[in-house]
Amino acid sequence: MVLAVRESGVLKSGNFFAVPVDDLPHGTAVGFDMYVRTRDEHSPYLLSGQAVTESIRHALESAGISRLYVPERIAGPFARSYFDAARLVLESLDSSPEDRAQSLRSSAGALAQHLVHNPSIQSYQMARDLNELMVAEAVKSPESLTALVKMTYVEQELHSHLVNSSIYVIALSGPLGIYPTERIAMVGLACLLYDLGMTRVSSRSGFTGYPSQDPVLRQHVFVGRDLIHGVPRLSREVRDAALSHHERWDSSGYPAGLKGERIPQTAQIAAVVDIFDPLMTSFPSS
Amino acid sequence: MTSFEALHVLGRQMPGQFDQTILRALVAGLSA
Repeated sequence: MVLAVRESGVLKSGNFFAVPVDDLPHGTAVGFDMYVRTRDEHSPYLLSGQAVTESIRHALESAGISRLYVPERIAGPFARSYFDAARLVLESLDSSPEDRAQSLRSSAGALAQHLVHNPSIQSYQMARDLNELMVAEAVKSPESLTALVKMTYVEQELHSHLVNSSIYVIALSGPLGIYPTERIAMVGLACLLYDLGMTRVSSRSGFTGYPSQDPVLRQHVFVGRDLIHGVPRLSREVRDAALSHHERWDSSGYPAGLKGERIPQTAQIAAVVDIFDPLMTSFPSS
Repeated sequence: MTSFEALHVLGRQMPGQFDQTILRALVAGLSA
C-alpha cells in the first residue's frame, strides 16, 4: 500500500518521500488529506484538519502501513506542522521525557527532509529555531537527551544521518565543555547542515575506486558551503563544517589537507559524527 | 555496535585521523 495526498478531489502524483507512521505528530491536525491508495479504491485515513490520535496510528499499523508517502513539494508545510507539534508537546506540563524527545526527533526528521528536498532561507530558519528548542530541552532535561540519543535512527537516508549527527553533537557538548547553549545550538545546527551538498552532487564520472576518493562526490563540500552562504544569522562556523568536515587530524583529508588545530573545531566535530554515525547505524559515509 | 566498539573500530581502522578529545567526549556523552 502507498499513502498519497489528495487535494481538491484529485490524487496527485510526483516525487514522494517516506515518513514512518511512528513519526506522525501526535495531537495536531494535519494540513492536507492523506489517503491510502489500494489496488481498487482510495480509503481515507486522515482528513485535512483531523487530529492525529493513537487510534489513527493504530489503524494504520493494523493495516500493515508503517510508512507514509508525502509529496516533496509540500515538505515545507509538513515540517512546519511537526515543528508546531513539538512546541505544543514541550509546552505541555504533563508530557514525559520520551514524548518530548519523540516530538523533537520527529520534527527534526521532517525538517531534514525539507532541507534535503528544498534548502531555502525558510528551511534554514526553521532548522535554527528547532535546534535551539532541542538544545534548550536537552540542557533542561538530561532524561530527554538520553531519550533522544536512543532514538537515533538506522535508516539509510541522508536526513536521518543529519538528524543523528545533530543529536550526537548535543550529547558530546557537555563532556567537551562546549557552552553556552547558544554555541551548542550553533554547532548542532552545523551538524544538521554540513552534508547538504550531497543532495546536489551525483557521480556519473565512471570513477571505479572508493566512493570517498571520487573527484565528483568530493565536490559536495564546496556545494554544501555555497548552499548556506549568505543565509542570515548562520555563523561562519556552520560554513566551516560544510567545507571542512572531510579534513583529517593527520592532514590526510580534503579539500585543503589541513592538519590538527588548523581545522576549525566545528568541522572536527562534524568529521567525527560523520564517520561515527555510519558505524552506529547502517548509513554509508560520504 | 556500541559507542565503545565504534571508538575501537575508528582507532584501529583510521588511526590518527580524528581528535581523540572529541571522540572520547562523544562516547562519554552517549554513555551518560
